[in-house]
Amino acid sequence: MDKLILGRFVPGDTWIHHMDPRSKILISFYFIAIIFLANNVASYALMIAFTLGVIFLSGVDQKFFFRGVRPLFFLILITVLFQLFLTRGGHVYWQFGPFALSQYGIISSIYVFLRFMMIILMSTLLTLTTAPLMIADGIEALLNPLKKLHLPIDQLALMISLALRFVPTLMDETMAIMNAQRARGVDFGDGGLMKRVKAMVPVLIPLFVNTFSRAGDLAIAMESRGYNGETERTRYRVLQWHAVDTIAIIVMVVLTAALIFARN
Amino acid sequence: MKSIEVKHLSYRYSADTELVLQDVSFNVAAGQWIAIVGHNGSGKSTLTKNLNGLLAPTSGEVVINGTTLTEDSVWDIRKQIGIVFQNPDNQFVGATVEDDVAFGLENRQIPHDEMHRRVKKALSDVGMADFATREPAHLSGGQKQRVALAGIIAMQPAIIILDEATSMLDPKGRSDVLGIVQALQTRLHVTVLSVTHDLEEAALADQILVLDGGRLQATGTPKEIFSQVDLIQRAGLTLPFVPQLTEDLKTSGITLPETYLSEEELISALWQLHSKM
Repeated sequence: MDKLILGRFVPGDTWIHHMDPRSKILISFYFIAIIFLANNVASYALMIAFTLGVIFLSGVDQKFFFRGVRPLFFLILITVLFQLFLTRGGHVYWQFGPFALSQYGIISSIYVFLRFMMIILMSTLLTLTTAPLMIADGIEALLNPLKKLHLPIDQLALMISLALRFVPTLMDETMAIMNAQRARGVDFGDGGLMKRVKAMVPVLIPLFVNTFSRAGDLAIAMESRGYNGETERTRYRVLQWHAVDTIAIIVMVVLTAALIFARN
Repeated sequence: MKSIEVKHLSYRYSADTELVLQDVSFNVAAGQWIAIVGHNGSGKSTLTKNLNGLLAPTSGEVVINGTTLTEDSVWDIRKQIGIVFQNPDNQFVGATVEDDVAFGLENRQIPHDEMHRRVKKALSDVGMADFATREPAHLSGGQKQRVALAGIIAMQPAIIILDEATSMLDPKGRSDVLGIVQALQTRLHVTVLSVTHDLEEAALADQILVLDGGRLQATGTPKEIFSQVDLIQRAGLTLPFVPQLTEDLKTSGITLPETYLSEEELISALWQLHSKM
């Protein structure tokens, strides 16, 4: 279970790993936005070339990307099938009731498939090459302007970083509780849905109670180290904008220009 | 100079419950090591929480380095006291070791460069410099407790409180943490207050306070306290190995002139006795 959430980050030593999380997050979102500008073969080819190029630069093993796609497989399949059989136009090859296999249907299902794949690959790339802590830092820095609207961004950032810090601790604890309950005869892997859900009760209740008591202890420890939630705090970790970030932004601008040129 | 003054402190959690602390008074001189001992439920933890204002006394007064603890002075007083708590997991705030050590410094608005310098120094003081970028999940309990101690050292407090800080550690982790605190006490002259039910740890102290049922039962040096066997038993504690051995020798007819704390003292006393026979 530990591997599932935090193990998705693959440490490395490439340009992409050294980029500032702020620019990585911004570029990922920007890429998802401009993907919808692509509308012909040339523009899709451009975007695919860019995605593959970035994946190559990250030096991350392809099998990690397959793992990123796997949980969304059914969503992709259903969407593609809908596009394939419910879009009409151009030459119709086959028809049955409301369903039809048409020229436009085939083209648009291919486009939808490519769009899906690129969005998933790019967001997987973000989590694969950025430590969770850095993502939290990046989100905080990007949300910082919202302080003007009196949103508690500092508290939110602390909340995210505490949540991330406790994920492995709570995983270990869940395992320990499950083993303790197994030792007393609870069977987690057996029986129908209701039986399995019921078997989780003796895990979830102690987990809840322990989590609250941990939160209490942690609050006391934080307070006695001078945290009061109100005064401004200085920061130990400071994000640094490197030349590679500026280059990445320029690449995105060039990509956008090329994309607008390529589409019809 | 008095570092900690506690005057007639009483505390109850709510109006309809019994007093958890009853009329506790004691003084600690600057640079001393004080151990507060007592079994579970004797009020030790409540006492420490009263010292840094996490709880407000029902009656009585706490004075830290000349400042009386009030609602206004509480944050100033917390700057002077660093507490290492019992459970190493539940006091680890940062996502990595260095972040955790820096947490208290961030709260005090220490500038960036100074903060990095202090974190580095504090981590090398506790021998965890190589672990600076590790995550808590990859550390042992003893290592986490050393990080907690580094977090306190970085804040440079005048008083360090160990609130059963070694009770969840293995013997190696325990002696590591205590060794670091001892070195710190001699080098920087900090006041140490250790709350414990382990009398081996209490033997390191200059003074021991025995707490039972929320009352201060006795105060004295380790030798004075350990020679009062019935007091220790009434408080529900067990003697450390060497005083216990002295006691056992007494019951089997070998009476030694006093209670000893270290094996060396006991050995030389036994040699002397042997040469007289």
